[in-house]
Amino acid sequence: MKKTVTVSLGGMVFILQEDAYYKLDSYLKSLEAGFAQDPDHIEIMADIEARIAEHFKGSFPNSDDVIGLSEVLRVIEIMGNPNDIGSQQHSGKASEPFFSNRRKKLYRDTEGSVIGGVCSGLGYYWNIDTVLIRILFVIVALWGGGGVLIYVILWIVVPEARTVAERLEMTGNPVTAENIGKSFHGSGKRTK
Amino acid sequence: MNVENSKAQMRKGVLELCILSILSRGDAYTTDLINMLKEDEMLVVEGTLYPLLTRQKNAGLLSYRWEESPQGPPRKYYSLTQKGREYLSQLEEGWANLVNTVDAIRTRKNA
Repeated sequence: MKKTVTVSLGGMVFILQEDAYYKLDSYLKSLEAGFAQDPDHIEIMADIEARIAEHFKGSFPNSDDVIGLSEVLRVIEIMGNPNDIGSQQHSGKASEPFFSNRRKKLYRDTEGSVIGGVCSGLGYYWNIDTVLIRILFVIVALWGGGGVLIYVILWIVVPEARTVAERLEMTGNPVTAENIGKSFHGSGKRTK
Repeated sequence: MNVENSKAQMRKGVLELCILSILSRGDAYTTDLINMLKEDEMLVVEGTLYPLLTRQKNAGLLSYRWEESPQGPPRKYYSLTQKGREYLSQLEEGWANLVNTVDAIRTRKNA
């Protein structure tokens, strides 16, 4: 027994088995990263998604068909991997990793928050125990009230980590389908 | 070095010319283009075509329109613009020269 995921692709709806979904998702993400330099990458991706949808529809014409991993692999083979496709424009760069942006971003961690998630977010960002940051804020607040002001400003300015991808960016994990999958299953748990 | 790789590079170089050439005979929807190019073994992976089409379109060589399809969502039909025709004739000239030059090099006797 396998879980399924319903997706919309190129204006059509498909049901994919979970492993097929993750494979397709990571494929599309790597393609998109490959085209990221291209100013037209949104249009190119839309065209490619439409073509993939056409392939799926060709093999599975009924709307309640479930698409498995083998079909996804078959279509990826036909469409080509990012190196084959991307090398046309920037050859030489083709072997660069697709996810080089392992940089952390500062978000508010509202899932592990006491007030607004600012301290928890800073904890991830600097890789320090959140408790220490909270104590520091409290001390500064008692000292002259500046801590409260700083906290409120950060609360307003720093965005909340809403999506799984943003949570991964916050914790410094690369945004890959595998990691997104992991976070789905253990949502809310710290992955330090 | 590998032969397949070198051949692929050659094909990629003239793919642009082939797309314009097919479209000069009539409008086509992306999948038609893919099928024709694949039949002639000009295209190995389909993904290669999309960035190329988008670039040619943005350069004003192609235009496209959406057309309803019998099943599924509307399809993109590409057609060659006037600018595309001029571009194609220049490419064709370049291609003819290239073929001549390469043949001349290949068959030349070393003095």
